[in-house]
Amino acid sequence: MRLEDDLTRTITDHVSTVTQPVPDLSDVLTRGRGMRRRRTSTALAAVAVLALGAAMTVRELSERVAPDPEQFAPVGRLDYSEGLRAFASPDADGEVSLGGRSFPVENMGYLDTDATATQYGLVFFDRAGQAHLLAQDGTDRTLAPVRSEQASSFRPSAKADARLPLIAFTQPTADGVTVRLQALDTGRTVDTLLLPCAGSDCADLRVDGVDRGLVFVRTSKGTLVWDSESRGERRWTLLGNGEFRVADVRNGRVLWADAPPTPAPTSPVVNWDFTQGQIDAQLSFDGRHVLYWSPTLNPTQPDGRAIRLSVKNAGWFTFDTDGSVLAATNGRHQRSRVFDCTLDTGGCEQIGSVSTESGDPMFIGNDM
Amino acid sequence: MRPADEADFEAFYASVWPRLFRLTYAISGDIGRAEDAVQSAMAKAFASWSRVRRADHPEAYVRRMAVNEALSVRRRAWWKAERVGHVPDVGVIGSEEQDVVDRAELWEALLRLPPRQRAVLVLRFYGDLSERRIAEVLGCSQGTVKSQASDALATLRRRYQAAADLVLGRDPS
Repeated sequence: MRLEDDLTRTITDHVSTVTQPVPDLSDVLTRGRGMRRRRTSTALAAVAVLALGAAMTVRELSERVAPDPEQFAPVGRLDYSEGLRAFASPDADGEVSLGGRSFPVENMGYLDTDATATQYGLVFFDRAGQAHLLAQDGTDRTLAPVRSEQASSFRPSAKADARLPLIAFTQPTADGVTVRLQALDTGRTVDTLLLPCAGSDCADLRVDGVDRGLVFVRTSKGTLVWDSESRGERRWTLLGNGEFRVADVRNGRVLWADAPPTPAPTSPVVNWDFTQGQIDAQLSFDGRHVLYWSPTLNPTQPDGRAIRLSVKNAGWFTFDTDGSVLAATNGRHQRSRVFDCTLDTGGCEQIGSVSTESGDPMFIGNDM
Repeated sequence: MRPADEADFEAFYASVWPRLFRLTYAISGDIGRAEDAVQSAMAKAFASWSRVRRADHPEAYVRRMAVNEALSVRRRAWWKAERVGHVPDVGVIGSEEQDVVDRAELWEALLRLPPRQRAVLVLRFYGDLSERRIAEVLGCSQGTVKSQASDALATLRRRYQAAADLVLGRDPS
Protein backbone atom coordinates (compact mmCIF):
# COMPACT_ATOMS: atom_id res chain seq x y z
CA MET A 1 0.00 0.00 0.00
CA ARG A 2 1.29 3.50 -0.82
CA LEU A 3 2.35 5.74 2.05
CA GLU A 4 -0.28 8.28 1.01
CA ASP A 5 -3.04 5.64 1.28
CA ASP A 6 -1.62 4.46 4.59
CA LEU A 7 -1.78 8.02 5.86
CA THR A 8 -5.45 8.42 5.01
CA ARG A 9 -6.29 5.14 6.72
CA THR A 10 -4.11 5.84 9.76
CA ILE A 11 -5.48 9.32 10.41
CA THR A 12 -9.07 8.20 9.84
CA ASP A 13 -8.62 5.29 12.25
CA HIS A 14 -7.17 7.48 14.99
CA VAL A 15 -9.68 10.30 14.83
CA SER A 16 -12.62 7.92 14.67
CA THR A 17 -11.63 6.20 17.91
CA VAL A 18 -10.83 9.29 19.98
CA THR A 19 -13.36 10.26 22.65
CA GLN A 20 -14.86 13.54 21.57
CA PRO A 21 -15.52 16.19 24.26
CA VAL A 22 -19.02 17.58 24.68
CA PRO A 23 -19.25 20.82 22.69
CA ASP A 24 -19.71 23.82 25.00
CA LEU A 25 -21.92 26.26 23.11
CA SER A 26 -22.44 28.61 26.07
CA ASP A 27 -18.67 29.15 26.37
CA VAL A 28 -18.47 30.10 22.71
CA LEU A 29 -21.41 32.51 22.95
CA THR A 30 -19.95 34.21 26.02
CA ARG A 31 -16.52 34.62 24.46
CA GLY A 32 -17.96 35.77 21.15
CA ARG A 33 -20.11 38.44 22.80
CA GLY A 34 -17.06 39.67 24.72
CA MET A 35 -15.07 40.00 21.50
CA ARG A 36 -17.88 41.95 19.89
CA ARG A 37 -18.08 44.37 22.83
CA ARG A 38 -14.30 44.99 22.76
CA ARG A 39 -14.38 45.53 19.02
CA THR A 40 -17.18 48.07 19.29
CA SER A 41 -15.34 50.15 21.88
CA THR A 42 -12.13 50.02 19.81
CA ALA A 43 -14.01 51.12 16.70
CA LEU A 44 -15.41 54.17 18.51
CA ALA A 45 -11.91 55.19 19.58
CA ALA A 46 -10.67 54.77 16.02
CA VAL A 47 -13.18 57.27 14.60
CA ALA A 48 -10.91 60.11 15.71
CA VAL A 49 -8.08 59.06 13.38
CA LEU A 50 -10.21 58.09 10.38
CA ALA A 51 -9.75 61.39 8.55
CA LEU A 52 -5.97 60.99 8.42
CA GLY A 53 -6.29 57.28 7.56
CA ALA A 54 -8.59 57.99 4.64
CA ALA A 55 -6.03 60.25 2.98
CA MET A 56 -3.33 57.60 3.31
CA THR A 57 -5.60 54.84 2.00
CA VAL A 58 -6.35 56.74 -1.20
CA ARG A 59 -2.64 57.04 -1.91
CA GLU A 60 -2.01 53.36 -1.13
CA LEU A 61 -4.83 52.15 -3.32
CA SER A 62 -3.42 54.06 -6.26
CA GLU A 63 -0.16 52.13 -5.86
CA ARG A 64 -1.68 48.64 -5.57
CA VAL A 65 -0.36 45.94 -7.84
CA ALA A 66 -2.73 43.79 -9.85
CA PRO A 67 -4.45 41.06 -7.78
CA ASP A 68 -3.19 38.30 -10.09
CA PRO A 69 0.13 37.21 -8.53
CA GLU A 70 1.54 36.48 -11.99
CA GLN A 71 1.30 40.14 -12.93
CA PHE A 72 4.22 41.70 -11.14
CA ALA A 73 3.45 45.34 -11.76
CA PRO A 74 5.73 48.01 -10.25
CA VAL A 75 4.82 48.73 -6.64
CA GLY A 76 6.63 52.04 -6.28
CA ARG A 77 9.94 52.81 -4.62
CA LEU A 78 10.93 50.84 -1.51
CA ASP A 79 13.57 51.61 1.10
CA TYR A 80 15.98 48.74 1.77
CA SER A 81 18.61 50.90 3.51
CA GLU A 82 17.80 49.40 6.92
CA GLY A 83 17.17 45.89 5.66
CA LEU A 84 14.06 44.67 3.86
CA ARG A 85 11.99 44.74 7.05
CA ALA A 86 9.66 42.24 5.36
CA PHE A 87 6.85 40.86 7.47
CA ALA A 88 3.21 40.04 6.98
CA SER A 89 -0.08 39.21 8.60
CA PRO A 90 -1.37 35.65 8.21
CA ASP A 91 -4.86 37.05 7.58
CA ALA A 92 -6.30 36.99 4.07
CA ASP A 93 -7.29 40.62 4.49
CA GLY A 94 -4.08 41.59 6.31
CA GLU A 95 -1.03 43.54 5.18
CA VAL A 96 2.50 42.87 3.96
CA SER A 97 5.21 45.31 5.06
CA LEU A 98 8.28 45.66 2.87
CA GLY A 99 10.94 48.33 2.69
CA GLY A 100 9.01 50.70 4.91
CA ARG A 101 5.71 50.40 3.05
CA SER A 102 2.56 48.33 3.47
CA PHE A 103 0.47 46.50 0.91
CA PRO A 104 -2.66 44.34 1.11
CA VAL A 105 -1.69 40.68 1.42
CA GLU A 106 -4.08 39.78 -1.38
CA ASN A 107 -2.08 41.91 -3.83
CA MET A 108 1.30 40.45 -2.87
CA GLY A 109 0.43 36.76 -2.76
CA TYR A 110 3.62 35.89 -4.57
CA LEU A 111 5.68 36.97 -1.56
CA ASP A 112 5.75 34.47 1.28
CA THR A 113 8.17 32.65 3.54
CA ASP A 114 9.26 30.61 0.51
CA ALA A 115 10.72 33.76 -1.06
CA THR A 116 14.32 34.71 -0.28
CA ALA A 117 15.23 38.03 1.33
CA THR A 118 18.46 39.54 -0.02
CA GLN A 119 20.17 42.90 0.37
CA TYR A 120 19.01 43.71 -3.14
CA GLY A 121 15.38 42.77 -2.66
CA LEU A 122 13.08 39.79 -2.45
CA VAL A 123 13.74 36.87 -4.77
CA PHE A 124 10.68 34.78 -5.53
CA PHE A 125 9.54 32.25 -8.11
CA ASP A 126 6.55 32.51 -10.38
CA ARG A 127 4.34 29.57 -11.30
CA ALA A 128 6.64 28.71 -14.22
CA GLY A 129 9.58 28.39 -11.81
CA GLN A 130 11.32 31.55 -12.99
CA ALA A 131 13.26 33.53 -10.39
CA HIS A 132 12.31 37.19 -9.99
CA LEU A 133 13.81 40.02 -7.97
CA LEU A 134 11.58 42.70 -6.47
CA ALA A 135 14.16 45.47 -6.39
CA GLN A 136 14.33 48.65 -4.33
CA ASP A 137 12.92 50.71 -7.17
CA GLY A 138 9.76 48.64 -6.88
CA THR A 139 10.15 46.88 -10.21
CA ASP A 140 10.27 43.17 -10.94
CA ARG A 141 13.24 41.68 -12.79
CA THR A 142 13.35 38.15 -14.14
CA LEU A 143 16.69 36.73 -13.02
CA ALA A 144 16.81 33.80 -15.41
CA PRO A 145 14.19 32.43 -17.79
CA VAL A 146 13.16 28.78 -17.62
CA ARG A 147 11.80 26.77 -20.51
CA SER A 148 8.22 26.06 -19.56
CA GLU A 149 8.19 22.38 -20.56
CA GLN A 150 10.87 21.71 -17.94
CA ALA A 151 9.32 23.76 -15.19
CA SER A 152 5.88 22.21 -14.83
CA SER A 153 6.47 19.99 -11.79
CA PHE A 154 9.74 21.39 -10.52
CA ARG A 155 9.99 23.09 -7.13
CA PRO A 156 12.79 25.66 -7.17
CA SER A 157 14.72 26.89 -4.14
CA ALA A 158 17.15 29.73 -3.44
CA LYS A 159 19.52 31.07 -0.80
CA ALA A 160 21.46 34.31 -0.63
CA ASP A 161 24.98 35.10 0.56
CA ALA A 162 24.82 37.45 3.55
CA ARG A 163 27.98 39.38 2.65
CA LEU A 164 28.46 39.02 -1.09
CA PRO A 165 25.81 40.13 -3.62
CA LEU A 166 25.16 36.54 -4.65
CA ILE A 167 22.16 34.28 -4.84
CA ALA A 168 22.09 30.61 -5.78
CA PHE A 169 18.95 28.99 -7.11
CA THR A 170 17.91 25.82 -8.88
CA GLN A 171 16.55 25.49 -12.38
CA PRO A 172 15.30 22.34 -14.13
CA THR A 173 17.08 21.16 -17.26
CA ALA A 174 16.71 18.14 -19.52
CA ASP A 175 19.56 16.34 -17.73
CA GLY A 176 18.79 17.20 -14.13
CA VAL A 177 18.95 20.43 -12.16
CA THR A 178 21.24 23.35 -12.78
CA VAL A 179 22.38 25.41 -9.81
CA ARG A 180 22.84 29.00 -10.93
CA LEU A 181 24.98 31.45 -8.99
CA GLN A 182 24.00 34.97 -9.91
CA ALA A 183 25.29 38.43 -8.96
CA LEU A 184 22.37 40.53 -7.76
CA ASP A 185 24.16 43.87 -8.17
CA THR A 186 24.96 43.38 -11.86
CA GLY A 187 22.46 40.72 -12.88
CA ARG A 188 25.38 38.71 -14.30
CA THR A 189 25.44 34.93 -14.01
CA VAL A 190 28.63 34.07 -12.12
CA ASP A 191 28.52 30.39 -12.99
CA THR A 192 26.23 27.40 -13.32
CA LEU A 193 26.80 23.77 -12.45
CA LEU A 194 24.64 20.81 -13.34
CA LEU A 195 23.54 18.28 -10.75
CA PRO A 196 22.53 15.15 -12.65
CA CYS A 197 19.30 13.66 -11.29
CA ALA A 198 16.02 12.14 -12.40
CA GLY A 199 12.44 12.00 -11.15
CA SER A 200 11.88 12.48 -7.43
CA ASP A 201 15.62 12.95 -6.82
CA CYS A 202 15.36 16.25 -8.69
CA ALA A 203 12.27 17.25 -6.69
CA ASP A 204 14.10 16.68 -3.37
CA LEU A 205 17.00 18.91 -4.34
CA ARG A 206 17.24 22.14 -2.31
CA VAL A 207 19.75 24.96 -1.95
CA ASP A 208 20.45 25.06 1.80
CA GLY A 209 23.06 27.80 1.95
CA VAL A 210 25.45 30.18 0.21
CA ASP A 211 28.50 31.63 1.91
CA ARG A 212 31.67 33.20 0.54
CA GLY A 213 30.45 32.14 -2.89
CA LEU A 214 30.23 28.46 -1.95
CA VAL A 215 26.89 26.78 -2.56
CA PHE A 216 25.43 24.06 -0.30
CA VAL A 217 22.82 21.79 -1.89
CA ARG A 218 20.78 19.04 -0.26
CA THR A 219 19.98 15.98 -2.35
CA SER A 220 18.24 12.73 -1.50
CA LYS A 221 21.64 11.09 -1.02
CA GLY A 222 23.46 13.78 0.93
CA THR A 223 24.55 17.40 1.07
CA LEU A 224 26.96 18.65 -1.59
CA VAL A 225 29.18 21.72 -1.81
CA TRP A 226 30.23 23.62 -4.91
CA ASP A 227 33.07 26.15 -4.85
CA SER A 228 32.53 28.25 -7.96
CA GLU A 229 35.98 29.83 -7.64
CA SER A 230 37.99 26.65 -7.28
CA ARG A 231 40.58 25.94 -9.92
CA GLY A 232 40.58 22.81 -11.99
CA GLU A 233 37.59 20.56 -12.41
CA ARG A 234 34.22 22.08 -11.64
CA ARG A 235 32.56 19.59 -9.31
CA TRP A 236 30.41 18.86 -6.31
CA THR A 237 31.98 17.48 -3.13
CA LEU A 238 30.11 15.57 -0.46
CA LEU A 239 29.76 17.29 2.92
CA GLY A 240 27.47 14.84 4.69
CA ASN A 241 25.44 11.73 4.06
CA GLY A 242 21.83 10.85 4.78
CA GLU A 243 20.50 12.62 7.84
CA PHE A 244 23.08 15.42 7.83
CA ARG A 245 21.39 18.79 7.34
CA VAL A 246 22.72 22.31 6.88
CA ALA A 247 20.65 24.71 8.98
CA ASP A 248 22.63 27.82 8.02
CA VAL A 249 26.03 28.91 6.74
CA ARG A 250 27.60 32.28 7.54
CA ASN A 251 31.15 33.64 7.55
CA GLY A 252 32.85 30.28 7.21
CA ARG A 253 30.74 28.52 9.83
CA VAL A 254 28.26 25.72 9.12
CA LEU A 255 25.36 25.28 11.54
CA TRP A 256 24.30 21.66 11.16
CA ALA A 257 21.57 19.37 12.49
CA ASP A 258 20.64 15.71 12.90
CA ALA A 259 23.91 13.97 11.90
CA PRO A 260 27.50 15.27 11.92
CA PRO A 261 29.20 16.34 8.69
CA THR A 262 31.73 14.07 7.02
CA PRO A 263 33.74 16.33 4.70
CA ALA A 264 36.47 14.70 2.63
CA PRO A 265 40.03 15.97 3.17
CA THR A 266 39.81 17.67 -0.22
CA SER A 267 36.49 19.40 0.56
CA PRO A 268 36.57 23.20 0.14
CA VAL A 269 35.04 23.53 3.62
CA VAL A 270 37.19 21.02 5.48
CA ASN A 271 38.78 23.84 7.50
CA TRP A 272 35.57 25.70 8.18
CA ASP A 273 33.94 25.85 11.61
CA PHE A 274 31.05 23.48 12.35
CA THR A 275 28.44 24.08 15.04
CA GLN A 276 25.63 21.70 15.95
CA GLY A 277 22.18 23.24 16.26
CA GLN A 278 18.52 22.94 15.39
CA ILE A 279 17.39 22.78 11.79
CA ASP A 280 15.30 25.95 12.20
CA ALA A 281 18.04 27.98 13.89
CA GLN A 282 19.96 30.79 12.14
CA LEU A 283 23.50 32.15 12.37
CA SER A 284 24.34 35.82 12.75
CA PHE A 285 26.13 37.20 9.69
CA ASP A 286 29.50 37.00 11.46
CA GLY A 287 28.76 33.39 12.43
CA ARG A 288 29.32 34.14 16.11
CA HIS A 289 25.78 33.72 17.45
CA VAL A 290 22.80 31.44 16.99
CA LEU A 291 19.23 32.73 16.86
CA TYR A 292 16.66 30.16 17.90
CA TRP A 293 13.14 31.19 18.90
CA SER A 294 14.43 33.38 21.73
CA PRO A 295 15.59 36.97 22.38
CA THR A 296 18.84 35.48 23.67
CA LEU A 297 21.39 34.67 20.99
CA ASN A 298 23.87 32.09 22.19
CA PRO A 299 27.55 32.25 21.15
CA THR A 300 29.00 29.64 18.82
CA GLN A 301 32.40 29.80 20.50
CA PRO A 302 33.17 28.80 24.11
CA ASP A 303 34.61 32.21 24.95
CA GLY A 304 31.74 34.09 23.35
CA ARG A 305 29.03 35.97 25.23
CA ALA A 306 25.30 35.71 24.70
CA ILE A 307 23.41 38.68 23.28
CA ARG A 308 20.11 39.58 24.93
CA LEU A 309 17.66 41.58 22.83
CA SER A 310 15.58 44.18 24.66
CA VAL A 311 12.20 43.01 23.51
CA LYS A 312 9.38 41.61 25.63
CA ASN A 313 6.85 38.94 24.74
CA ALA A 314 8.49 38.22 21.40
CA GLY A 315 7.90 34.73 20.04
CA TRP A 316 9.15 34.97 16.43
CA PHE A 317 12.60 36.00 15.26
CA THR A 318 14.66 36.14 12.09
CA PHE A 319 17.69 37.93 10.71
CA ASP A 320 16.99 40.83 8.40
CA THR A 321 19.15 41.44 5.35
CA ASP A 322 21.27 44.06 7.15
CA GLY A 323 22.21 41.61 9.93
CA SER A 324 19.79 43.00 12.51
CA VAL A 325 17.10 40.80 14.09
CA LEU A 326 13.40 41.17 13.38
CA ALA A 327 11.25 40.13 16.34
CA ALA A 328 7.46 39.82 16.52
CA THR A 329 5.51 39.69 19.75
CA ASN A 330 2.89 37.15 20.67
CA GLY A 331 -0.29 38.77 19.45
CA ARG A 332 -2.34 40.49 22.14
CA HIS A 333 -5.79 41.57 21.03
CA GLN A 334 -5.00 39.79 17.74
CA ARG A 335 -2.12 42.12 16.83
CA SER A 336 1.57 41.39 16.90
CA ARG A 337 4.13 44.17 17.19
CA VAL A 338 7.27 43.91 15.06
CA PHE A 339 10.68 45.19 16.19
CA ASP A 340 14.07 45.67 14.55
CA CYS A 341 16.89 44.86 17.00
CA THR A 342 20.59 45.60 16.61
CA LEU A 343 23.11 43.04 17.82
CA ASP A 344 25.65 45.67 18.97
CA THR A 345 23.47 46.99 21.77
CA GLY A 346 20.54 44.57 21.88
CA GLY A 347 18.29 47.61 21.50
CA CYS A 348 15.00 47.18 19.64
CA GLU A 349 12.85 49.68 17.76
CA GLN A 350 9.21 49.02 16.90
CA ILE A 351 8.79 49.21 13.13
CA GLY A 352 5.20 48.10 12.75
CA SER A 353 2.48 45.68 13.71
CA VAL A 354 0.32 43.10 11.98
CA SER A 355 -3.07 41.57 12.65
CA THR A 356 -2.86 37.93 13.74
CA GLU A 357 -6.49 36.91 13.75
CA SER A 358 -5.89 33.69 11.83
CA GLY A 359 -2.36 32.66 12.80
CA ASP A 360 1.20 33.75 13.45
CA PRO A 361 3.06 36.77 12.08
CA MET A 362 5.27 35.88 9.12
CA PHE A 363 8.70 37.08 8.08
CA ILE A 364 8.70 37.22 4.30
CA GLY A 365 11.72 35.70 2.63
CA ASN A 366 12.98 34.00 5.77
CA ASP A 367 11.81 30.47 6.40
CA MET A 368 13.32 29.52 9.75
CA MET B 1 -27.67 39.95 17.05
CA ARG B 2 -31.23 38.93 16.25
CA PRO B 3 -32.53 35.72 17.91
CA ALA B 4 -32.97 34.18 14.46
CA ASP B 5 -29.30 34.81 13.64
CA GLU B 6 -28.22 33.33 16.94
CA ALA B 7 -30.32 30.25 16.22
CA ASP B 8 -28.60 30.00 12.83
CA PHE B 9 -25.24 30.08 14.54
CA GLU B 10 -26.26 27.41 17.04
CA ALA B 11 -27.30 25.10 14.23
CA PHE B 12 -24.07 25.81 12.40
CA TYR B 13 -22.08 25.15 15.58
CA ALA B 14 -23.76 21.79 16.15
CA SER B 15 -23.26 20.67 12.58
CA VAL B 16 -19.60 21.58 12.05
CA TRP B 17 -18.15 21.07 15.56
CA PRO B 18 -17.49 17.30 15.27
CA ARG B 19 -15.75 17.66 11.89
CA LEU B 20 -13.61 20.57 13.05
CA PHE B 21 -12.69 18.75 16.22
CA ARG B 22 -11.57 15.64 14.33
CA LEU B 23 -9.54 17.74 11.93
CA THR B 24 -7.79 19.80 14.60
CA TYR B 25 -7.21 16.67 16.67
CA ALA B 26 -5.52 15.04 13.69
CA ILE B 27 -3.30 18.12 13.35
CA SER B 28 -2.48 18.61 17.02
CA GLY B 29 -2.65 15.02 18.28
CA ASP B 30 -4.05 16.41 21.53
CA ILE B 31 -7.72 16.41 22.56
CA GLY B 32 -7.49 19.48 24.78
CA ARG B 33 -5.63 21.51 22.23
CA ALA B 34 -8.07 20.55 19.50
CA GLU B 35 -11.02 21.48 21.69
CA ASP B 36 -9.45 24.86 22.53
CA ALA B 37 -8.76 25.56 18.87
CA VAL B 38 -12.31 24.80 17.76
CA GLN B 39 -13.88 26.73 20.63
CA SER B 40 -11.69 29.79 19.93
CA ALA B 41 -12.44 29.69 16.23
CA MET B 42 -16.16 29.31 16.87
CA ALA B 43 -16.13 32.22 19.34
CA LYS B 44 -14.51 34.42 16.68
CA ALA B 45 -17.03 33.19 14.15
CA PHE B 46 -19.88 34.08 16.50
CA ALA B 47 -18.37 37.53 17.10
CA SER B 48 -18.40 38.09 13.32
CA TRP B 49 -21.38 35.91 12.47
CA SER B 50 -23.03 38.41 10.15
CA ARG B 51 -19.89 38.33 7.99
CA VAL B 52 -19.17 34.61 8.34
CA ARG B 53 -22.67 33.50 7.39
CA ARG B 54 -22.45 35.51 4.17
CA ALA B 55 -19.25 33.74 3.13
CA ASP B 56 -19.48 31.37 0.18
CA HIS B 57 -18.60 28.48 2.44
CA PRO B 58 -18.92 29.38 6.16
CA GLU B 59 -17.50 26.03 7.28
CA ALA B 60 -14.34 26.58 5.20
CA TYR B 61 -14.04 30.05 6.71
CA VAL B 62 -14.18 28.69 10.26
CA ARG B 63 -12.02 25.69 9.38
CA ARG B 64 -9.26 28.08 8.37
CA MET B 65 -9.49 29.83 11.74
CA ALA B 66 -9.60 26.54 13.67
CA VAL B 67 -6.59 25.07 11.88
CA ASN B 68 -4.54 28.20 12.47
CA GLU B 69 -5.63 28.27 16.10
CA ALA B 70 -4.46 24.67 16.42
CA LEU B 71 -1.12 25.59 14.87
CA SER B 72 -0.53 28.73 16.91
CA VAL B 73 -1.45 27.41 20.36
CA ARG B 74 1.73 26.86 22.30
CA ARG B 75 3.64 26.68 19.07
CA ARG B 76 7.02 27.07 20.65
CA ALA B 77 6.49 24.15 22.96
CA TRP B 78 5.69 22.01 19.93
CA TRP B 79 8.87 23.01 18.20
CA LYS B 80 10.87 21.89 21.16
CA ALA B 81 8.97 18.65 21.53
CA GLU B 82 9.19 17.70 17.89
CA ARG B 83 12.97 17.49 17.94
CA VAL B 84 12.81 13.88 19.05
CA GLY B 85 13.98 11.76 16.16
CA HIS B 86 14.33 8.36 17.72
CA VAL B 87 12.69 5.22 16.39
CA PRO B 88 10.21 3.94 18.98
CA ASP B 89 11.04 0.74 20.75
CA VAL B 90 8.61 -1.89 19.51
CA GLY B 91 8.01 -5.24 21.19
CA VAL B 92 8.01 -8.60 19.44
CA ILE B 93 4.87 -9.07 17.38
CA GLY B 94 3.26 -11.58 15.12
CA SER B 95 2.67 -11.00 11.45
CA GLU B 96 -1.12 -10.70 11.86
CA GLU B 97 -0.55 -7.68 14.08
CA GLN B 98 1.91 -6.07 11.72
CA ASP B 99 -0.63 -3.82 10.01
CA VAL B 100 -1.87 -2.36 13.30
CA VAL B 101 1.65 -1.75 14.56
CA ASP B 102 2.64 -0.15 11.26
CA ARG B 103 -0.22 2.30 11.52
CA ALA B 104 0.68 3.11 15.14
CA GLU B 105 4.23 3.83 13.96
CA LEU B 106 2.95 6.00 11.16
CA TRP B 107 0.73 7.97 13.54
CA GLU B 108 3.69 8.52 15.87
CA ALA B 109 5.87 9.56 12.94
CA LEU B 110 3.16 11.96 11.78
CA LEU B 111 2.95 13.56 15.24
CA ARG B 112 6.70 14.18 15.24
CA LEU B 113 6.56 16.25 12.04
CA PRO B 114 6.76 20.05 12.32
CA PRO B 115 3.22 21.41 12.89
CA ARG B 116 2.70 23.04 9.50
CA GLN B 117 3.98 19.99 7.64
CA ARG B 118 1.64 17.86 9.70
CA ALA B 119 -1.24 20.21 8.92
CA VAL B 120 -0.53 19.99 5.20
CA LEU B 121 -0.61 16.19 5.26
CA VAL B 122 -3.76 16.04 7.38
CA LEU B 123 -5.58 18.55 5.19
CA ARG B 124 -4.47 16.69 2.06
CA PHE B 125 -4.92 13.06 3.04
CA TYR B 126 -7.62 13.30 5.70
CA GLY B 127 -9.40 16.52 4.75
CA ASP B 128 -9.04 15.69 1.04
CA LEU B 129 -8.36 19.33 0.19
CA SER B 130 -6.57 20.44 -2.96
CA GLU B 131 -3.23 22.25 -2.76
CA ARG B 132 -4.99 25.50 -3.56
CA ARG B 133 -7.47 25.03 -0.72
CA ILE B 134 -4.71 24.04 1.69
CA ALA B 135 -2.79 27.19 0.74
CA GLU B 136 -5.91 29.22 1.52
CA VAL B 137 -6.39 27.50 4.87
CA LEU B 138 -2.77 27.98 5.94
CA GLY B 139 -2.37 31.43 4.43
CA CYS B 140 0.61 30.52 2.27
CA SER B 141 1.43 29.91 -1.39
CA GLN B 142 0.75 26.68 -3.26
CA GLY B 143 4.51 26.39 -3.65
CA THR B 144 4.88 26.33 0.11
CA VAL B 145 2.20 23.64 0.38
CA LYS B 146 4.04 21.56 -2.22
CA SER B 147 7.37 21.92 -0.48
CA GLN B 148 5.91 21.21 2.97
CA ALA B 149 4.15 18.09 1.67
CA SER B 150 7.25 16.89 -0.12
CA ASP B 151 9.48 17.40 2.92
CA ALA B 152 6.93 15.78 5.22
CA LEU B 153 6.47 12.70 3.06
CA ALA B 154 10.23 12.30 2.68
CA THR B 155 10.65 12.48 6.47
CA LEU B 156 7.79 10.02 7.03
CA ARG B 157 9.25 7.57 4.54
CA ARG B 158 12.57 7.65 6.38
CA ARG B 159 11.15 7.34 9.89
CA TYR B 160 8.37 4.94 9.01
CA GLN B 161 10.73 2.72 7.08
CA ALA B 162 13.25 2.80 9.92
CA ALA B 163 10.56 1.76 12.38
CA ALA B 164 9.30 -0.96 10.06
CA ASP B 165 12.84 -2.28 9.62
CA LEU B 166 13.28 -2.36 13.37
CA VAL B 167 10.04 -4.26 13.83
CA LEU B 168 10.96 -6.79 11.17
CA GLY B 169 14.43 -7.22 12.67
CA ARG B 170 12.93 -8.19 16.01
CA ASP B 171 10.28 -10.44 14.66
CA PRO B 172 11.34 -14.05 15.34
CA SER B 173 9.05 -15.37 12.61
